[in-house]
Amino acid sequence: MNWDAALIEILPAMRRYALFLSRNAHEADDIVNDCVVKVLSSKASFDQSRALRPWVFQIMRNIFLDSRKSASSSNHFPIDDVVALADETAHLSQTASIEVRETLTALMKLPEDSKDVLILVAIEGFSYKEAAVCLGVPIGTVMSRISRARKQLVETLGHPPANLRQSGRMI
Amino acid sequence: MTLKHISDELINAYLDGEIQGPLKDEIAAAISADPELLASYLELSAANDRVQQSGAHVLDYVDARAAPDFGLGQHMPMRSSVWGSMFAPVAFAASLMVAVGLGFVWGEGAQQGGSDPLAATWIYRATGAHQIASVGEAWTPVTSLEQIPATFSPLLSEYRGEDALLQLGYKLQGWRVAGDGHAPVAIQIAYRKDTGELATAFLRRHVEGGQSSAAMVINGVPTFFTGGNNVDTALIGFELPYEDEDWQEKVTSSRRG
Repeated sequence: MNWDAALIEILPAMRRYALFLSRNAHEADDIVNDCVVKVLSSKASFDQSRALRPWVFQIMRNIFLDSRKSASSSNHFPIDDVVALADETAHLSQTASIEVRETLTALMKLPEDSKDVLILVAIEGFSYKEAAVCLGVPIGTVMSRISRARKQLVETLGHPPANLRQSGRMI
Repeated sequence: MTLKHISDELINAYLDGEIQGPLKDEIAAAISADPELLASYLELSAANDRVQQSGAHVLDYVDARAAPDFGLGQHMPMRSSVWGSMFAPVAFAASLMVAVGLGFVWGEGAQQGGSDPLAATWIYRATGAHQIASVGEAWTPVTSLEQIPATFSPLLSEYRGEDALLQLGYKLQGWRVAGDGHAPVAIQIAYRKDTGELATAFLRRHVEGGQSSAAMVINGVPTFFTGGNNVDTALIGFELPYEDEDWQEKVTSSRRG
């Protein structure tokens, strides 16, 4: 495996996931940097029959969790760049811009475990098995967390328009 | 399986493409047969669409920021063109034909030949809107299709289905009712970019099961499919090019209507 090329290919997704984890663009790039160092130093122990992305994302998540432990005693409250970036939507229509902001806000307000699994499955396209590997939980836990996360999102983001829910026209 | 046994977890797993085989068909049938279950599924799907679109927006943001040197000697890869990957699947189109020749019909769920989630979102939402426009009406194709301007278009707009394509730079060109020489069989919608790229979508409701299916053809290549009998729908779209004179006339007529 050409490790550099493999990592470069998934680098944008790594930076996005790190941003979702840390909520801060600068901290996200620090996480990615630490992750790259760790991956390259651990590649000899990587079982090449495994998928690369879940392993890399798992490392990234562990780096983030470790950083949170060490920061817990300080007054470190990172800026929430994830939601703030929704304002940078000049290329979107007004409706789409509002929708992005609402969705990101709702997503980031989910409980951590629900948010984590939804980001991996819905945004990063992980299978349940891959998400389970990344999060270190059984697949059944992934299923229940996904279900809980989407249910909460529907409650937050609202239901289809009422006029479509009339008798016989329900969707 | 009865509806009682379809848990929220199972519906979500179906939505995420985690269910295969006979169980997938059973869940699809149950969802189609139960308005309450269908409503629940579409709510979850709509929420998921929004999360995916927001994720794409975050990726745009990340891409726009200069990447530090991560020690990989990297030049940050350009994201693949939104449509670029769609023009590749000529082989996919060929395999589609083979699939049809073998009598294979895809089941529920979006099938993608490309990778753009916005276009996939559009085709999915359009199918949902089409289904709504048809539900509760006796299957009389002409009557149903004549509802395009009055019923279908507002529904599509209300569900923001078009936003997905508009965000990609496509503009609505017009509608027409596509026929097979005997009767109307599908709604055909065309979108075009200023650069000339053409996307045509075909939506039809099937008599049996009352399902709507849809297909999108990008510059002549069948690309996205959703709903039952979608290969059949794709082929209709594939065989009815936009450059058809009949199209132009009916689009104009439809717009006047």
